Amino acid sequence: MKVLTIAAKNLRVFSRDRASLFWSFAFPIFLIVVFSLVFSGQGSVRISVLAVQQDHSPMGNAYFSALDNVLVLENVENIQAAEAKVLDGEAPAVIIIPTGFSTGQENVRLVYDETRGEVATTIASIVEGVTKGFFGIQTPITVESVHGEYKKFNPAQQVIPGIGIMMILMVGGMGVSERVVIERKTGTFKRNLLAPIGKLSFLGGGLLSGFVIGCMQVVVFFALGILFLGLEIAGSILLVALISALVILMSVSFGLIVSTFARSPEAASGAVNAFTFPAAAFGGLWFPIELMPGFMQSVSKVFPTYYAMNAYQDVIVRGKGLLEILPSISVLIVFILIFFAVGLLLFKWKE
Amino acid sequence: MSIVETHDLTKTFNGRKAVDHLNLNVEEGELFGLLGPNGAGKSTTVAMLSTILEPTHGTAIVGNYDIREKPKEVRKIIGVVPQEGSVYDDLTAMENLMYFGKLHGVDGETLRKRATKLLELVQLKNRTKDRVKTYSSGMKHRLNLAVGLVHEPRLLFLDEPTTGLDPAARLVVWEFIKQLQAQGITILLTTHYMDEADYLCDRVAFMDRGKIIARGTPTELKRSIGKLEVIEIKTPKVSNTFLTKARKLKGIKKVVHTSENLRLLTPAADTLLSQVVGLASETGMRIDSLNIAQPTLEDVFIKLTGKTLRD
Repeated sequence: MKVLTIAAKNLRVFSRDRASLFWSFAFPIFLIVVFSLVFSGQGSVRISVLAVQQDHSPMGNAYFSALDNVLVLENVENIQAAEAKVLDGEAPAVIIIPTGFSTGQENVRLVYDETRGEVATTIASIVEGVTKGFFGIQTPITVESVHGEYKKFNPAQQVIPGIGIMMILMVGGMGVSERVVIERKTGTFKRNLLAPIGKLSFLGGGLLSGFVIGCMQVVVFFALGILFLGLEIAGSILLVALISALVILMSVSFGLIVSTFARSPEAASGAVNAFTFPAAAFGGLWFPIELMPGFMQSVSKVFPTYYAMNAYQDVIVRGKGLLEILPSISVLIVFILIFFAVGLLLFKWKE
Repeated sequence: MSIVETHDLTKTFNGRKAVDHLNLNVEEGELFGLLGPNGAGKSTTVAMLSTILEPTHGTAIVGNYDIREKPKEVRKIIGVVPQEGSVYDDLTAMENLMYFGKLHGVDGETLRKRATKLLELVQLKNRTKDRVKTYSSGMKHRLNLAVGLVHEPRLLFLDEPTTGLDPAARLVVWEFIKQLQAQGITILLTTHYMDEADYLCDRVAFMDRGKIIARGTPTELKRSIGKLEVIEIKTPKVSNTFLTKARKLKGIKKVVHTSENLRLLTPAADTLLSQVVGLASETGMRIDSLNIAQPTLEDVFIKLTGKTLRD
């Protein structure tokens, strides 16, 4: 009977530990749901691709419809403009159905961005599959790959910024929030409060230390990518530094918000994780968002991580400049300003 | 000259007055004790005086600065030693002192010298480079004290400085407090240990339910209850019949059951002694020891409120 008493006590303690409950149930449920949705078959994953349809014959239209069933085709009139969009990274691929396709004079052309890795190969295999189903063995298709500044696809271009943003968000968020919670619990917060300093000095110190740790993380992650994983940065390294600085500011300002309501270190880490994991999954940090179902792609735009990842990839993969990434980093800056404003407003500089 | 003057200082929490129109003054250089049971309002008073809790009503002048108007100026001249060991466990003793010294505007060689001297004073010189998490509770208490002194405050608030310490460690802290007073630092001590207040304080004030109910030197307060003596009885089991009958004995002013003993306050201890022993035997209450003692500050508090300081 003592075994039962001890087990009952342990279960009671477990049921009151929010962090344990989060890691035991909420987090795995979330992962299962996200991965199930993402990898639930081609029917639900609808990748957007550009299409230039110049052959409006019944065969041309039927072929177009067959492709449109498995991909989301966006009609574009001009071939050069469509190819430029692919080269620029705005679309992963373009399918060109030229005049003379139905008469057998011209092949359909698939031009895809090879730096898109998994997304590009998925598109190529879908288009080839549909074409084969339509025409049999003799597939009238020409597949061409293009790339922007980046020479060839490297998984590090997804993994380094993706995992980097996630870990910076997690460490920065937890670092800042848990520090404050622990200081309040152990009484050192009171000691700081008793010194002739203000709220801004105390928070400034906390945020600055979080920022320095974030900078060290960025250096380690990118050094690992460049030195060991063959990551090349097509654009300016200064822009990578700028985006990284914004990501770190986002993480510490988010930590500041959590510190205003979390009452225990476990609650703080739970709150940080509750935001970080959805933000990572929906922001395209784990896998390209093109692989997600349509509704999930719409949800992505709610998360600052989506804009951070876009900005990183634009610079690292496509070598874009400041003006071109300005829309993404502007949204990121707005998020940071909101996080800081809310955090500073809610933070209580008293016991 | 007063270094602390409170004017109707009041703090209300959810309609309950934790501190109720407190008027108190502490003279420069004295060691003043604020005594009372838990929940009497001592810590709330200290929190308001040290500017980390805003009064609901009234104010206080600390070292010529109004606590409401010039909180930063007040913080520069006060040192606070909270009850809990408010130091960083992952830093060393020296690192803690350097950190809090810098927050108070002390810097460079001055700070290093001061920190070294303080660590010597609190007998932590040999452990300066060890992380605080490896310290005993007595050592943490002493470091806590040193941190409150690193910026050389004019006024020091000591909140229950010896709670949780063993008798030997308490004596070390008492001697250290005496040394601080000898250096001219004004000390406001809150405690519920009457022997501590009796030994250390120049003046004390009793606080109960947010109000000052008596104040004066320990000697004055003990005299104020008249020519009373105390019969202290140690017994393994207190008999309720004994308590009832003892209260009815002629000449007994008060009978109190504390956590340590039974205390019978009377102006004629000698004459009542035999009756008390007889009553114990009659009610079957075993006596382990019996003693006639002079009244303590605790007895004064009992006389005033009818309860002990640990109620």
